[in-house]
This record gives sequence, structure tokens and C-alpha cells, in this order.
Amino acid sequence: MKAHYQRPMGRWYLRPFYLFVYTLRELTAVFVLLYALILLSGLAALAAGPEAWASYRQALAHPLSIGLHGLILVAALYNSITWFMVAPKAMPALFIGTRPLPGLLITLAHIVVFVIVSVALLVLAGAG
Amino acid sequence: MSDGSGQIDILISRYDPERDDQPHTERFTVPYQHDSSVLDALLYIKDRIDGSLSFRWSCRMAICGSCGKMINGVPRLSCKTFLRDYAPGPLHIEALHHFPVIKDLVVEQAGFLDKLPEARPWLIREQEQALADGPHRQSPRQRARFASTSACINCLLCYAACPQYGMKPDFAGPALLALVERYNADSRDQGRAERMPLINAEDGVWSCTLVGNCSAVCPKGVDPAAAINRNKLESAKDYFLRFLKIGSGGAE
Amino acid sequence: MSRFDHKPRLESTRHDIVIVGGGGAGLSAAIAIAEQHPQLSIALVSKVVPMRSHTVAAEGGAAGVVSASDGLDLHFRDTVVGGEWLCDQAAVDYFVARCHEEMVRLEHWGCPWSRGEDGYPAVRNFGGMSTARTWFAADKTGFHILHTLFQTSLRFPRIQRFDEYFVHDLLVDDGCCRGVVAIDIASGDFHALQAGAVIMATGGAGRVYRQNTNAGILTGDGLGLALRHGVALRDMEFVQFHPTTLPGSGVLITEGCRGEGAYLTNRHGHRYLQDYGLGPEVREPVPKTMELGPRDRLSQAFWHEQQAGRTVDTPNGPAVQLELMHLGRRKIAERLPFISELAKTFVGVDPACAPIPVCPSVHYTMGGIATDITTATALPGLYACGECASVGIHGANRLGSNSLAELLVFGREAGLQAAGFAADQARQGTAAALAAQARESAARAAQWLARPAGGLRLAELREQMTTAMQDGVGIYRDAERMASTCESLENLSQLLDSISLDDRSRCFNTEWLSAIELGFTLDVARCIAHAALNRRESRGSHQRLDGYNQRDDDQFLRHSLATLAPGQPPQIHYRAVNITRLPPGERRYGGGSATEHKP
Repeated sequence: MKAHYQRPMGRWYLRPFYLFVYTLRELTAVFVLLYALILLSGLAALAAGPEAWASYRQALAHPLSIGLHGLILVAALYNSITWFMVAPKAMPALFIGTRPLPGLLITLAHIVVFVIVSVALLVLAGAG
Repeated sequence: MSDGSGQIDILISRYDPERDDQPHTERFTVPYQHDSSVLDALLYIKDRIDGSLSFRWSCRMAICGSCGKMINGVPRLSCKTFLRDYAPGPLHIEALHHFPVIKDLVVEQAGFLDKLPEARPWLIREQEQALADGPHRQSPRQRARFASTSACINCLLCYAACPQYGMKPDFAGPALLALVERYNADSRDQGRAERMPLINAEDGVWSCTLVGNCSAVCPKGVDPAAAINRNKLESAKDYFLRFLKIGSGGAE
Repeated sequence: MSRFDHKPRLESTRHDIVIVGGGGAGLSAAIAIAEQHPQLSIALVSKVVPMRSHTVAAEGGAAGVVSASDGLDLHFRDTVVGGEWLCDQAAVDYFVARCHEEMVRLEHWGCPWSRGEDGYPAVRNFGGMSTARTWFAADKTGFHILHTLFQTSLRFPRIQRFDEYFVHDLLVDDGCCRGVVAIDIASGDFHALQAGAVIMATGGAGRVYRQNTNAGILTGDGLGLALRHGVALRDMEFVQFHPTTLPGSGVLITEGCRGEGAYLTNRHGHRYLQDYGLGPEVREPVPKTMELGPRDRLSQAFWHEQQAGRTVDTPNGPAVQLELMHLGRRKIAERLPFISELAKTFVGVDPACAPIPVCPSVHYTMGGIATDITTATALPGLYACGECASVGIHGANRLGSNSLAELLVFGREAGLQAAGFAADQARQGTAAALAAQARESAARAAQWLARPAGGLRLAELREQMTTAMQDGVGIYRDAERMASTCESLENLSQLLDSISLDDRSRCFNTEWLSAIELGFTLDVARCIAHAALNRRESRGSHQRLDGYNQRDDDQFLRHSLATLAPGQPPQIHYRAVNITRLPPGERRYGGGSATEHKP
């Protein structure tokens, strides 16, 4: 005698806004993958010899490539930071006495380490 | 925002299974005071305007877990949500998303209730202590380990917030997996192994993609997303250990 | 027209025991039977899913003697004195002896009791108790007890749940209670559950009043059901007003606040309880003194402060101030987190920074279905436990933290007694008679849906009832107002048949259920008002202003028993109180003189 109504899911990945934030987090992973492939092809070029390496570097310098890298940078930043935001949920519970360590603190710690490592790498790259 | 009193328009998604094929929206105008909750508005409508409006409620103080609704698209306890925060309106109230709707704002909860025993949500001991031996000992620090997960009121807002549950109704879901973690994290319990099948299952922790929205809507600070994702680690460990055992010729 | 032709169906099932109500008492009974009599089938019927039951809202704790300096005799004395000698002393002795064991049992089932540094469950002070003996789980004790019981009950497949089934009648044959008739709320179909024994565990009837701490479900269904089948309600005039609740909504602010050391002050910042025989003013909590006085005295003191114009005005009426600021944020977060959440949510007050405005609201039905010490009622096969029952331990005023303990002790007792009764019963020969009775009862309930439109609104009648009760049978009472309330209630019960419903459908028709509930609630209200009018003395929570403002042991050291015949006002009879070892004496609180403040 029951005729329950089952609401269709619709475009749940766009609305409400917090689900769109999540959808973007998942989509930006594609850009991170893309960058990994670019790095990998660089490694392959290096192995193939000086000529391949030179053409790889040339390709990198192309305005389209620079644009793509800019896009990848933004996407990777978004991906990292949104993951830092959920990091407190993915790691073992930490307590100070009987009080749980606030999640915000864990997120901030991640971001601080991220910034320090990035700056250090940039400095190292500049020095090199 | 408004701090005073006034009138507010409320749009309610109505569904009568004996007449309707799908829900429709009806508009009601209700007066409100500074401290009027959405539940107060629903009771006002039922008492004075249309007695046929159906919804669940009971304690009025955010502890029984009955009155969850979608309020402007967000799952909330209607007793703990105030009209003043939505003035001048209109305010849209629907049944909790992802559950089959029985009538108006009432959803079918069997999907959750029937799965409860699978969490084995009771204290499991290898050897039960006799009553005469008195209580187990547990330090305040040990108790703190499951204080948040034991605060779940089963209001099911987390299910309405979880798109994975919406797409996979067999997913154990946030509250059930938080309940598993509540007992696993209890220093008195020795039943982790009995609860691993639910954690490891296709519909267990691995159906969660860490949207994190369950924790955001939880009115009791349970943080089911954390409870689930910590168990992914446990599940991976469990898998690996079993793999080793079989690999080394362990007969099981 | 209906999309599908929905003729009400009547299903029928048989069980060994039917338990009505899935709160603390019902679940305790169910688990006790499942553990001790695994061969018996148990039906647990409730109009809500068990974890929604109102046990969930209890905050402060549950009494159970633990420390060496305490003793069962002290708990016994506190309870009997607190109840102003209207307690069944044998029942109290039975009760206090079993509280500790029940607390330990819950601990073994996983209840997250708050702990001391030594790892043992902690206890706190409570009103009217000589020493700290109240076990607690922060300030959500009822919530944790209920969820522990509910989750533990899932271990037992013999407990078959009928969630969201509304019991509207009892099946009685050959002078024995043989089951219940219920509405399956989701479908609107009827279901007869035949049984060897029935346990009522439906909770209280706080919804009889306008301002109360109770959930919407506490409409006195169990009391009404018993009453209609000739079982008397005992001591119904004793209605507990909890002294600290939020004005307007009546949301409960636990006595645990005062157990932890909170102060009650009037508009001048004066701790007024010292003016009502509860002093001397002490800074740290001292048992049975000041804010740790019993609930009846504290609510009465509020009334006097209000009369004298010393209360604070709030948009929802007069209030006094509950001060927790001196406890410090840390202690509040550890011991009273839920109170902190409630105060912030419902009155916008952070109790670490400002006082919470509080006033008395109806909280607990101290009377109930009359049972003997074994929870058996006068109707063979019918047992009652928890707030809906009057087993006799609360007398004229219940002490805080005795009710959660009662659910466990007497829930278990009811389960075991009913199991014994059901096992003894030959269950042949009555099925046809019961089926006929169920059909007739279902047809009666279904008539609500066939009534013509244009009648009275349900809510109007309900409001008139709660207003009449609030006005006439409050903290202080007099004959004139009580008589007027009695008269209003009789009129209202005549009007019950003139109600018409907006909702004629069957599926999840909560308006239909409310109408049936209102019938029960009105009957309970009539019993309360008549029992109050007939008790011409003042005792515990029943205080009169009209010349009967003293206790009168000669006339009224007796239980009242209310019965109801169709078409007549309730009949009130009296029965002797079982006094085994503590003769009536003076009820004294505070450390100072025993001068009582009488208007």
C-alpha cells in the first residue's frame, strides 16, 4: 500500500555550492595528473638524448604551454588547499588530554608546511 | 536578517501518496517572534491552517533526532533553526533528501534502521565481566576517544547531505560508520574484528569519497567523515594483514 | 479520490509479551526478558522509533548508592522524606537496593558514564539527596542510557520491533489483558498484537499542561488506556514542576547545574532560597541546602518571588537567574556541555558569561497506573513501569535522578514478572473473541476519519485543556480554580466528539493520532484535577492556598485512586500508604531553622 516518492538526484554536483566545491576538488585532480604526465615525458626526453631534451624544453616555452602551466598551478593549489581542509578527517585522531586537537589547527599546519616547502624549493631552484 | 518579529512566507513541499504522483509546493504565511523555530512554524500551520501537514517531531530541544528537514536546501533540525535567520523569506522546507518520502515531510528511515545491527553497536567482550565485579575502569582520556562519536542522535541529516548515499542507497553511510567507530574506539570493547566486515564491504568505508558534508551539517559535532576516513586506514591495514596471512600459507 | 482504494486492513500476530513504549523502561523490560527467557517472543511497540523516546531528554543523572559514606538507608530516607511520606516504603527499599546494580549493568553494556581520574564512574550532587550518588554522563545521561539500551537491544533477535505503531486499545478477555490494537502509522492499517502479557511503558503526561519540559509524544496514552479498562490511576494530583526550565518553551535546564554549584538569584542578585528555609547561604554545594533543595520547594519559592515582584521579566514571562559563571568555562564544557548548547541556541546566553533565565515548568507525572511492588496492575496480565506507572517510590514529590534509576529497576522487574505470567498462561480459546474485539476497536478508531467537516479544530480543544490545567492546577492551588478547571475539562471531553479533522487520509496521518491522543490526555487531565480538588491538604508538590495549607496526615496520609466510568466525572478513592519503617515526621532541608514559608 506504500507508494513512496523517490526524489531524483538531478545535478547534485553543481548545487548546492558546497557540492560544487567538492566537484571542483575532484576535477582539479585531472590537472595534477596532467602535470605528472608532463614531468614524466620530460624524464623520457632526458633519457632519449640532448636533442629530445632540447625540443622538450622548447615545447615548454611555448605560450600555450605557459598558459597551461598557469592553469595547472591554479588547479593544483585549489586541489591542495581543499585537501588540506579535509586532512583532519583523514588522519588519526589527535588529543590534548581529553580534548581533540581542533581541525583548523591541523589544516593550518599543513598550509604552513606547504608554503615553507614551496618557498624552499623555489629558492633552491633559483640558486641552481 | 531581522531581530524582531513579523510574518514570513514558508514554501512546503507536500506529497500525499494517496493522491499525488510527485510532490508539489504550497505556500503558508506564519507569524514569528525572535525565538520562533522552524518547528514552531510547522506546528502553527498544522494547528491553525492545515491539519493534514505531516512531519515528525518530538523533544523540541535537539536531542531526540526526529525533526530533520531540508531548509532552503540544507539538512537541519527544525527545532534548532530559527525563522529570524531567514526573514523576510520565503523559506523552503522539504523532506530530507535521498530518502523515499512517505508523506509530506516524512521519510522512510528503514534503510538506516535495518542496517543498524550490522554495526554490532554493543559492547563486545571476550569474557563478560560479572555484575558483582563492578564497573570496568576507563580513564577520562579513554572516554574522550569516543565522546564525539557517541553523541550521534541518529537524526539522519548526514545521509541527506551525502551525495554518495543519494546515488548508492546501500552505502552504510555516515551515522552507521560513526557508530562502528564509537564502539571500536571504546577502551572497554574488544569487538573490532566483528565489525571489520561492514567496514571492508563495498558499501562500507570505501564508498565514501570524503565530501565532508556529513560533518558540516551534523548538529552534534560527531564528525562522521573523520570516523569513516580513519577506518579506511584500518581497512587497508586489515586487508594487507589478511593478504600476508594467506600469502604465507595461513589456512583460513 | 484515492489513487488506490485503501480499505483499512487488520493484521494479527501473536507474541508472548507485548511491550508498549520503547523508552528506558520498555527497553529494559525487553532486554531482561530476552536475556532471561530466550524462548519467549517479544513485541516492542512504540509510536516513535525507540531512540526518539523521551528518556533521551533526561539530563542530570541516575541515582545509585556507591560510596562507603553513603548507604541504602540514606537513599531510602531521602526518597521517603522527599516524597513527604506518601511513598510505598517496601517499594522504596526494593528500589534503592537495586539501583547500583543497574548502573553497573548499563556500564557493562557500554554506557559512557563520566569518570573520575581513578577510572571509576563519577557521581554528582542532586537536590534532596544527602550525598553525591547521582551517576551521570556529562549532562546527557538520559540520551546515553537510551542509546545504550536501544543498541544493546539489537543483540536480541527475539525482540521484534514495531516502530511507529500507535497503540489505541487494549485487548481484554476473561478478565485478563491479552494484547493491544495498534495503527501502523505509515500505512494507516490496523494491527492486533495478541499476547500472554502486556507491559505499559509509555511515559508521562506532561502535555496536559501548556508549559512543560516534555516531548510532544508525552500525551499520557498508557494512562488513558489503563483507565479505560478499569485500572485506577494513583496519586495523579502530584505533578512535578521542575524549577529550572526556559521560560515559554519549558526546555529543561538540568538540576545537574545546581549539583555542580550553580546559584539561583532573583532580580536583585539575591540568592533567595535562603528566605524559604533552605539556607544558610553557602558558596560551595552542600547537600539538601539552598539550590540543592528538593524540586517542589524550589518551584514554590519561585512562586513567592514572583508574587513579591522580585523576578526578572523576559519576553516569555517572569524568570529568575541561574548563575553558572563562577564554575568557569572549563567545568561547564566538561560537565554541562548540553546546557551550554541549549542556552546559546534557545535564549542566546553563554552560561560562562551570563545567567540563564529560568522558571518552573511541568516536568514529571509522579502518579500513574497503580501497580504493586512487582509492577502488576489490578488487571491480570497488565504490567506498568517507568513514568506511566505509580509503583509508589515518588510519593508527593520525586527526587531528581530517581526516575532514570526507576526505569531500569522496575523496567527489568516488569519484564521478568510479565514473562513469568505469560509462561503460565494457557493461550487457547480466546483468539476468536480477541479478533472480534480488535475489529470493533479498529472500526471505532477509524470513525475519526469519517466525521463530517466543519467541526471544532483539534488544536483549539487542546489549548483550552492546557490552559485550564495551567490556570487551575499549578504550583499553588485553591478550590475555586480547581473546581472551575474540573468543570472546563468535563465540558471539553463532551466536545471531543465535535472535532473534525482536516486529514482524512490513512498514510502517516498524524492529525488522526493527535485526536486519539487528546482523548487520552483529557482523561488524564480530569483525573489530575479531580484528585487535586479532593486532596484537602498541602503535601509535596500539591500546595493549597485556601485554608488547607498544612499537611494533614490524619486525613490524607493516603494514596488517591482515580477511576473513570463512561459519561461521568472521575471517582476518587483513597487507600492507606505502606509505611514499614520510617514514621511520618517533619520534612527539613537546609542547615538552619525549619521555619517553613507558607503564604
